[in-house]
Amino acid sequence: MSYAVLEPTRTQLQKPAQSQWGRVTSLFAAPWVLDALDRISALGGLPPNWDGYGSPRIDIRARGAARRFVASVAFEGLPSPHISPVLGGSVGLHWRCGDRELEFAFQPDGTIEFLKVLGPDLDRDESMEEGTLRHEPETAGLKLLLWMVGTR
Amino acid sequence: MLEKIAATNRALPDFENPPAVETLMGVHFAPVEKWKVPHFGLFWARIKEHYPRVEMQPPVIQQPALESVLSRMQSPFEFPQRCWFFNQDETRLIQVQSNLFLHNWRRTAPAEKYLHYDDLRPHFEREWQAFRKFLEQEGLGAVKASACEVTYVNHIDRGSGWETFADLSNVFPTWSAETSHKVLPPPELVAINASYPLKDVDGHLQISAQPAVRQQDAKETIQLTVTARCKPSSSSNEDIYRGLDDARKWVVLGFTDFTSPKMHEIWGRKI
Repeated sequence: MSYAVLEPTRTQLQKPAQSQWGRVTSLFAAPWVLDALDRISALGGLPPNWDGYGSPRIDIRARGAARRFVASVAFEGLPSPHISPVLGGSVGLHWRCGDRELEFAFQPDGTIEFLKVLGPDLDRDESMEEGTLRHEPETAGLKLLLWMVGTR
Repeated sequence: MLEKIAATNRALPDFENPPAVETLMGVHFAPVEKWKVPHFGLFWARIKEHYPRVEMQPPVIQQPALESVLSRMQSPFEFPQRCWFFNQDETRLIQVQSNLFLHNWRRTAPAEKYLHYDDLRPHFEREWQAFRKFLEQEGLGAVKASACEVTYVNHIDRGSGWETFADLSNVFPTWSAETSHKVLPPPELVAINASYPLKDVDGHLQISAQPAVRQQDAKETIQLTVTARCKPSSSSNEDIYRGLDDARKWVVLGFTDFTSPKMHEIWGRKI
């Protein structure tokens, strides 16, 4: 017997189903989370003009949003992201799994932009997609990450 | 009834700043055989004024019951469901599935007042009675209660009584980081799961301590979940409330016994 499973959501990933309301991420499931959170926090130590092109400090709101995102989307089997400062005071998270890549940029104004890349042939239009995570960004980001690891 | 609860409470440990972030109380019962998905909506219509938002959730299934649940499914579309009904300020929640009714309260900000069991039980009683009335009026049959559950979810953040997992014996006296030959370094992560039979009551207390990151603010914490399940003497409301009182008593006693006097000092133990 087979079942059609549509759009797995974050809550459906949490097994076994919990009667608890507040959400935590188990450090046994994603032991890299603490290190990633520390690396995001450490971006706050970069001075103004850290890139030599006049970029401001990495914004505290951007760091906070990136930390909450990492804490919310981490799941067993997801690799640790590459974390970097981005022009304009933003935080960048980059994941790669086989020929699939995902980049998220957390802007100081709260916007979260993403870039989705499939395959090495970047000249093909269908190999890249970009956009903004608007409604429930953690859930939307999780769906993209599930795509990247190949479960969607 | 509340006077009786208050008298019992006076004998139980109490804290100025308990680490509880969420509490649950509720009833497990034999599956309501005639329960179908539309009943969630019919029940919601009755409580929507106070619980205006709804979310579907995967069901809570006790592991031994999983096979029997699956075998009762007549088609893939009948997979059991659970529904969450949120109150206006999203501090309380009712969970309903065909064999479970739970009422949750959560603390949404650290400064928010902690609501004690006797503050919350009247809410539970009102919603539970409404649910029973709904079952009766819809001809879904009477509840056959199998367990009363009380759960307290506590967050013990890093920096509040512990810094590394080698310090864990400062929080939980039952844990020791000592090893036989001191070959192993201090642990980088520790989780504890324990189950205890309850004295004088037909039930069990389960305690789980898990290292975690809170999604709301990305803070590292130890999530200490203490759950007591007691079998009520009957399915009457009086026996169910008594079962909840017993479960709550054992959650508080178990929490206090499982954690250290040093932590009790941090949490401002009063009794």
